[in-house]
Amino acid sequence: MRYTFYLIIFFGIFINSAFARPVSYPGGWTVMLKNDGNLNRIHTHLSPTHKLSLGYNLEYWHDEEFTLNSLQMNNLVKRWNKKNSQANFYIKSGIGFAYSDKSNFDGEIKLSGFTGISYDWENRSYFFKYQNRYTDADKIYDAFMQSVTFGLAPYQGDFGDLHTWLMFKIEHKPENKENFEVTPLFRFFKSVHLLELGLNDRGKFLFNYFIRF
Amino acid sequence: MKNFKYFLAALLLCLSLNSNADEKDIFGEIHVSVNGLVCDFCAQSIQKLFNKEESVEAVDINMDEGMIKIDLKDGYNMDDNLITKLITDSGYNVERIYRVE
Repeated sequence: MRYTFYLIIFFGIFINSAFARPVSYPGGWTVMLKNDGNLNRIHTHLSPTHKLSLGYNLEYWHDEEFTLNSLQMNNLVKRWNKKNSQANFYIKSGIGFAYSDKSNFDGEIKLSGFTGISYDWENRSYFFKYQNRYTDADKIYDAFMQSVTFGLAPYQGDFGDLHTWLMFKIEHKPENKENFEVTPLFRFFKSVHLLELGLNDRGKFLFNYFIRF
Repeated sequence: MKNFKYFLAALLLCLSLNSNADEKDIFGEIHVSVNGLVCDFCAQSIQKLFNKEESVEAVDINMDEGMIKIDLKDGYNMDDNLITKLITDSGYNVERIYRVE
């Protein structure tokens, strides 16, 4: 468990990377680092086309004490391009194995998989996103989660400027006792870098960093 | 002989004018109005794909107007089909292509 966490932190610091959209432009690489109160995650992917990305996903779940290693595929099913807005519908799926540190399953390795959908809409002032995911790792973990995110840009930067968003994320995990979690966060991006900083209603920090090549 | 000289001069003048017309078609800027150009990452996708083209000198993007400006290298041209393909491959739609002479 400890080593997985350090591995994630190592990649986070020295590769200096994390994520943006689930699919990039043809030939584009994206590396995403996500850390919040629930998990540490690295996802890196290559997009052969603007509708598909293939990559590797590594997650460590704090409370459930397990590591998820997956090959992940993201599909852009539909994009709506308008003059002043854009909307996207994605399917994201992964298959791999889970390794548990938790007392009951300590040392167990199980096949795992996850799948979910994601819908987002944005213009240059407002942002909305809904996503969900069902994860199955046999006895180690079996749960559904979903979230909505709202965003507001206090100003409209042009190409190459520093872009800033004020965002509000609500996560819902039906299986948990406290099944709602609220996280206000800031999103900054400039050039190929995207940084998110937040603090949830349980006092846990969110730190996400994404880079695209 | 005199008539032949006039004919030759007129022919050279026509060729010269025609040559200038070709240059106007080849050199210059292309402005493309694009749908879906709402974020910096969107703009980067388009810029990166265009920058891979040998004919492209520079790409400038105006997000306020949803417009990209393509500067071509001297002696190169880029047809509308290729422009449309590159933007579609980036994941966006062309609204209109303008040629600036």
